[in-house]
Amino acid sequence: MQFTTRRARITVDVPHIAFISTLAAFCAWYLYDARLNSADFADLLLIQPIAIGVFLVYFYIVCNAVTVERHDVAAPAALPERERIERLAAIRIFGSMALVTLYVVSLNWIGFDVATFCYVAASLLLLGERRWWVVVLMPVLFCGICVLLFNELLQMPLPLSLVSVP
Amino acid sequence: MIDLDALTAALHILATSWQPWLVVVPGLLIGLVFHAIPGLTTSMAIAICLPIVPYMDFLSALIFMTAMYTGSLFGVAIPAILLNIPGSPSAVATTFDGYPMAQAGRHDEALGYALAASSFGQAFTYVVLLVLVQPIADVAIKLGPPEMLIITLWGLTLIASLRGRHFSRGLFAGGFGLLLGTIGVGARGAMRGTMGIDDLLDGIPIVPALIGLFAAAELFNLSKSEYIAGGTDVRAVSFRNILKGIVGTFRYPATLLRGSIFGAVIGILPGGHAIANLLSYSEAKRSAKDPESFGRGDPRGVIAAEAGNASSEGGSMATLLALGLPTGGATAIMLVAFDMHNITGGPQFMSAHKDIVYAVILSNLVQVAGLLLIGIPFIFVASSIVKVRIRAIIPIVLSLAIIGSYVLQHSLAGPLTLCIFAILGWLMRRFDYPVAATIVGLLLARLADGAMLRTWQLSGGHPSYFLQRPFALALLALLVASLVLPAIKTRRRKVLPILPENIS
Repeated sequence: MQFTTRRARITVDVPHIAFISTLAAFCAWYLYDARLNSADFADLLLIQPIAIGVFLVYFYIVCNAVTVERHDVAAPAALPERERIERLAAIRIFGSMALVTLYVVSLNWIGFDVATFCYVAASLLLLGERRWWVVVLMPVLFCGICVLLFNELLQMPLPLSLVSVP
Repeated sequence: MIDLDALTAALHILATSWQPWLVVVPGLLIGLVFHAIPGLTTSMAIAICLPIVPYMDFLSALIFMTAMYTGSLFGVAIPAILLNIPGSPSAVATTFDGYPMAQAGRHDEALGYALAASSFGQAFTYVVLLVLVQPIADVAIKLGPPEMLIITLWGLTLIASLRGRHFSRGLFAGGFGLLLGTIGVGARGAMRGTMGIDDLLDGIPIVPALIGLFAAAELFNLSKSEYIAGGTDVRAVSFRNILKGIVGTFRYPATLLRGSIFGAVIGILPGGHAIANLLSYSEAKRSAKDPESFGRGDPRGVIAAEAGNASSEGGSMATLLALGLPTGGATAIMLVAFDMHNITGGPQFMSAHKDIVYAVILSNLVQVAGLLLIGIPFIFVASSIVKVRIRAIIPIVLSLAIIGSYVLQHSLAGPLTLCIFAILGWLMRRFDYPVAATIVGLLLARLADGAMLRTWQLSGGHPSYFLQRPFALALLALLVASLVLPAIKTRRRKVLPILPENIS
């Protein structure tokens, strides 16, 4: 976010401030929770000084997230090709994050076999695989190996919905 | 120092019986494979092998267990270097320079460095153990919370050197990691930050958090690339480069020896194996003339971390054999063999079965040679992962890691932790916060908290208590020296060029 005055351009790194403020808020809540459970000095030997140190560093970082530039310094111009590549990369990165989150959340509902198949197939598609037989066969093979390895060989059963191991 | 009669008896046992040797190669291979695949761990390997342990004689069982661990000590370096995945806390420091080397197409060389350093570290510590098993045990019994506190503080100084481009962000990341690491039931029973979630009572699950912060976040970033390393030529795997790494390791004898000594000493302490690689790396970086090259693919980083990690298990072996206390992963595994044969470790075991103790140590030296031989072709196969397209690696590795974290925790807590920390790790990288500093904080927080509390309780809050602990004072002196000497050296280097005798 940018503000312009007569002499300077002020840039505030809002996403960065939002990110670090979330972490600092968590630290504040954590210190509060720790003190709520036990305000005894011995229980806070490490937590309290570290939390205070974290807040001090937080204020320093926030102050530095605001930059002031003179007007005569030209802002870097964005190239259209670079923008396109960055957009594609962002789609893949955020898409991968969304898929992992969906995979983890759905594990207990639809079972490891179906969830893993869907996740691997969807990831392959998102990351640019277009050969249909790879998109189908690779997840099937991978799921089969996982089920055999964990449920049969390691005797560490994963909750399944479709595949039943005798 | 060495009981020659017991040593002769040990050599006799090993020379006249073929049974103990039969289990060495399978043990090494199981250890290697189970740590080279993300999501699999030594505890899973034990789950497979446990039913056969009671059918082995005690020595064979011990050798089998230690062979598995010898393999796994190097096995953890493989995903750490190739995929930035530290399968256990003991491989965290290996990723700092190992992964940048892999990205630069020096994956096979990096694995060569890791293999040689790991083998040397293990051989070094077992030779020390052979000579000094009893004195080490005597020292181990005198070490307590104050010494552990100083070692932990030493480990925490690594946060300052992992600061990345912004010192303040490094400090914030380290402090944040320390706070996260204390979540759960504290040393005095106070519950902190659990939000009423039972799975958090024991703290944040470390391995899923490590994989999430390090690996998953990196894999998200890699999703825009085609391969881990760019260019067809840099993706080639060659024996020549592996051997180059193995031979090259011995060009850094100081790094290798320092790491091995650090590991052996720290391994004696409970939980020391998790710090050994970090402390060894930190000291290698601090004492280097060009510390800025660390973290960018410097082989010395890989060597220091691997030597420290490998040798730490020897130190913990001394504590197990002489005191019956497991202080590391290998020794905890060996306790299983002890238990299944109704044998209790400790001073009585040491005096009654010294020949067995020596036989185990000697067989470990042979295992190290075996690891070097098996490790080379294993690296050749494992390195081929750099030839696989990223779009195939990401879903397979992530789902294996998620399944593995589910199996570790036996609940969704593992996968959820991995997922949350993956997003956190990506955001930290996005805003230029060093993830490694958070990891160090996360790993050392509980140790630091516990050691601090116990030291406080023992000393009653009087610093003079440290004067009664010669080992603590010695460690404190070493800690201060390790911080002050590099600073003096750097200052001298800056001052020297302007002295008249340096102006030609």
